[in-house]
Amino acid sequence: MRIPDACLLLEGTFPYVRGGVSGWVHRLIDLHPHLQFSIFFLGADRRAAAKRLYDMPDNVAEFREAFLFERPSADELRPAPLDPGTASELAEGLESVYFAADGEARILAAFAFSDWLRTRGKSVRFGNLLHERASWDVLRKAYALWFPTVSFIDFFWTCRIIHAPLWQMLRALPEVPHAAVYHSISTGYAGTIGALASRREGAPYILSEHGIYTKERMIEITQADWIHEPQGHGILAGPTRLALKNLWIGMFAFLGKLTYESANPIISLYSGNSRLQEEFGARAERVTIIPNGILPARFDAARKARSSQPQPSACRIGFLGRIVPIKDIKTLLRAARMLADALPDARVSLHGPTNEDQEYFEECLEMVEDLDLREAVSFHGSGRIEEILVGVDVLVLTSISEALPLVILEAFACGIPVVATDVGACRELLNGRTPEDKALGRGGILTGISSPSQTADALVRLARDHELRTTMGAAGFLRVMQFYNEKHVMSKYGALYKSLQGKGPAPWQA
Amino acid sequence: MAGIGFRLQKILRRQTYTAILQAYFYAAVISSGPLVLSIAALSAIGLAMAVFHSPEMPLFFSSVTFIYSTSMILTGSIQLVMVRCAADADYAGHREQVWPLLSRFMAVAVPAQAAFAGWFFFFCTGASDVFKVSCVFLSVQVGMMWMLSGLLTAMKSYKLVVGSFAAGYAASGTLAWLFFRYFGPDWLMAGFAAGHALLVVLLLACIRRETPDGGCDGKPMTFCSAMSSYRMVALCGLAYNIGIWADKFLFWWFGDGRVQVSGLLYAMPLHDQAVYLGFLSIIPGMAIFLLKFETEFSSHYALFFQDVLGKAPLERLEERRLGMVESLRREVLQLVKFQGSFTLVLVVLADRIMPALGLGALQTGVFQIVLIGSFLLVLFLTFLTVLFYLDERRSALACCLVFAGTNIAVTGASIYFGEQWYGVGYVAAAMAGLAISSRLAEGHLEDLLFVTFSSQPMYPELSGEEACSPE
Repeated sequence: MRIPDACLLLEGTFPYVRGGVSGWVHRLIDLHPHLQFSIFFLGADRRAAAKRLYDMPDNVAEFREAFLFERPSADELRPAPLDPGTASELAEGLESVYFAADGEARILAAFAFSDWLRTRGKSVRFGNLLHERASWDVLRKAYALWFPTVSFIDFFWTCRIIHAPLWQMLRALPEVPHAAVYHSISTGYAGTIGALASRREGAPYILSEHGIYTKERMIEITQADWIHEPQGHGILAGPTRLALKNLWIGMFAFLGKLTYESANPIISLYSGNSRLQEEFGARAERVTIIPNGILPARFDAARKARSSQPQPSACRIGFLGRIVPIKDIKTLLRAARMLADALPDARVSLHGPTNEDQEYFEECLEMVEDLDLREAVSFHGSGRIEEILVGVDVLVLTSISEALPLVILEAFACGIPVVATDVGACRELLNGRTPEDKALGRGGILTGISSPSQTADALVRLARDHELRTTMGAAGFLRVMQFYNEKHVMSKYGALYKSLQGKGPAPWQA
Repeated sequence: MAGIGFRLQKILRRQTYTAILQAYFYAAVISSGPLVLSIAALSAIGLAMAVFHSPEMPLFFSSVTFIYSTSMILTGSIQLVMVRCAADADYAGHREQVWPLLSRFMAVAVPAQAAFAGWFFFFCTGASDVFKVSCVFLSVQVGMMWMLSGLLTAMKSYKLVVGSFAAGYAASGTLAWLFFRYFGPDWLMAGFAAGHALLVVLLLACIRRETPDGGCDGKPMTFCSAMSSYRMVALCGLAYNIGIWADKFLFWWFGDGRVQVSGLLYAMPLHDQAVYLGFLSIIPGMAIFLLKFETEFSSHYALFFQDVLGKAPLERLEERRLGMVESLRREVLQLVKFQGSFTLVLVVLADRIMPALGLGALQTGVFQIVLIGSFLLVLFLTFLTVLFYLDERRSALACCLVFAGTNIAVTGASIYFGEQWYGVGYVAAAMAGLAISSRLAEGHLEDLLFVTFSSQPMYPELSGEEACSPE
């Protein structure tokens, strides 16, 4: 068997979890039938991975998995007898990671520790980390250095709980399949094990992130009330809670930094995320963008149907998406009120699931009543996108947060102009990113977040100006065809694998 | 033991003079436990022998001594494990498990005790059949007595224990005397055993009263599973009791001046008397130990754990640990002063006390040596208790083994070197036990934070598999 061309490192996604990233992974593999893939899946525990939700494509040569939050084996939990030399090496290894002078030294120390552990095999176990005096001394030192006044029992247990998945990850390293190129789809545990595996193999390492993992974990931890309560005794007091959250966040930030230092190129979907990656430690010269794409051919029929339509008497504004707070439907409704004041015949139709946040949906319905928009605004539930877009003259998006909204690409594929808030990738989708992209012209109008008047102004402008709608729609169409064709963007990965094949991992110093 | 100490402190808080006396009395009786009770009983019988000069008395005295000592060795380990399981069940709110637990342990201990006593008295002694049967009967009663009184102590029913013993011993003495008078010397033991039967019945009734009736939630441990999960505790009990009795048995079987009473039953009547009396000197020390030391040390221990669970920072936990160390030092010092001066007074007065009890110069020497040994024993027990508190069972076992081993070895040597060395084995054993237990206890206290945290299993349900605690 030949060595697979690329090993994908996946954390909590394909093939067990449904979602955008999983679908993307599936298409990446599908669109490169001539390449052989291996997959290493990292999950929390086996229960969440009972059933594969995606078929495994034929060109996946090897699929392996590890579950980081599962209880280690009884053997692993029992401390192995350590000779004094090994015990002090363990202590030194831990100290060099935790008390490293700077982030870079810490990463190198982590690599050294991982190498050391690999040579020791099963003669050093998680039980040693849990029960050895060496690790206790390091823990006390860390406590004295970082949080000398917080609840010790909670610090102690948080440290233990943080280390269990890390240890499992290090233990899983030998399981990572061989490959010519390593490619992880996130930082975190998958990114770290990818970095370690690529070092082990002397193979190049690619990172591509959809969301920014480190930031997502930060938000999750900051908002969580879960911070572990070891024996169910009482609620954590403020400072302790904050300290322990910082411990978790610091750990994920470190894994992110380690991944960024090891990977080249570091890919994101749009420039906003590239900036975030740089903020979390990615070197600017390694950062690059490969956006998501769609298959424009799917919308050919819709586009033709639209162009053969007679010019509508009144403008039809469409919203496609979930009716949830992040999409800020309420701003859209306020804008609709202003729009109706200016153009009483204009109609706004919202398409998308309403059951995800029932309370919010009901508030929206009340708002429609209060603003007297029963005539102008209608909710339609989900439907087939190609069919819905036939009856849309302008697509509107008032989200307060987005990544790279595919719905804009889909509208463009039908030649529909877009009014969207300036979030995520919207600016580069509407105005273009690179000079040649910008030269294609604007595909719509950008508006400010939570600004009903800006949205209404843009909508009125487009509704009144059929010419402008056609021009912007055409620019958008060209943009999708040239820069966001899925076949085209995905093939960049194939090219990347080919060009990196046989090269070593990213050099350490830039 | 902690529970007992705390309860006693509550009694002390009543702060009336009689209440304090009462508390000291309970403490003396319970803390020294079976050992003191049995030695006190034996001393009483020994003194009675001096009053009733009857040819049957030596056989009776030796038999009772043999039954008490062997049953302590035999059931000592089982009793400790059972009490520990019962305390666990009680702590977990399953007091209804105590009764089934008791019956499971009795089902093993009673036949074993009867079989051993039956074998010994029928094949190794030559008394009358009535006497032998009575001895077997007494063995069974005494074995049950240790287990039941231990259990009641664990359930903190001190008054009931003391009351039962008072009634039981009064009945034993009276019945022994009555049987002797009306049925003849052969029945002396029968009367004594009948009194013990009353004691056992009283203790059983107390336990019945203290444990709820009805169905049993959850499963009480079986004898085997309990013994295997507390095997270190069991071995401690065995080794400690062997350590206490080893020198006595060696003297009976090999010492100069031993008297064959009947078959394998031997005695050294005057020497034994001196040893028992000297041993009883531990009572005030034990009382102090339980009341002051144990309660103070356990209060500090409780504070330590309160703070661990109460989310205190490490600095405060360290302070609490030092508090424990300090309280231990303070209380040991207090014990040394108190028991030391008590022992000193007795050593000085020995020349006057012993002749008054009909004992000679040689016995006075033995008495004085045993006094010193008992002083050391109290200190040894103090540190041994600390080790049990810290749940350092392996260390506790090591101490008990050293104690027993030293006693056997040095006593053996003392028999070889002659009578003037008699008693040295006991002193040496207590001293060795004290030396090692104090070192280990201090070491473990030094390490308390590490052990408290780092020995915790990461996944509690796996604690059995994750062998980081000694057992």
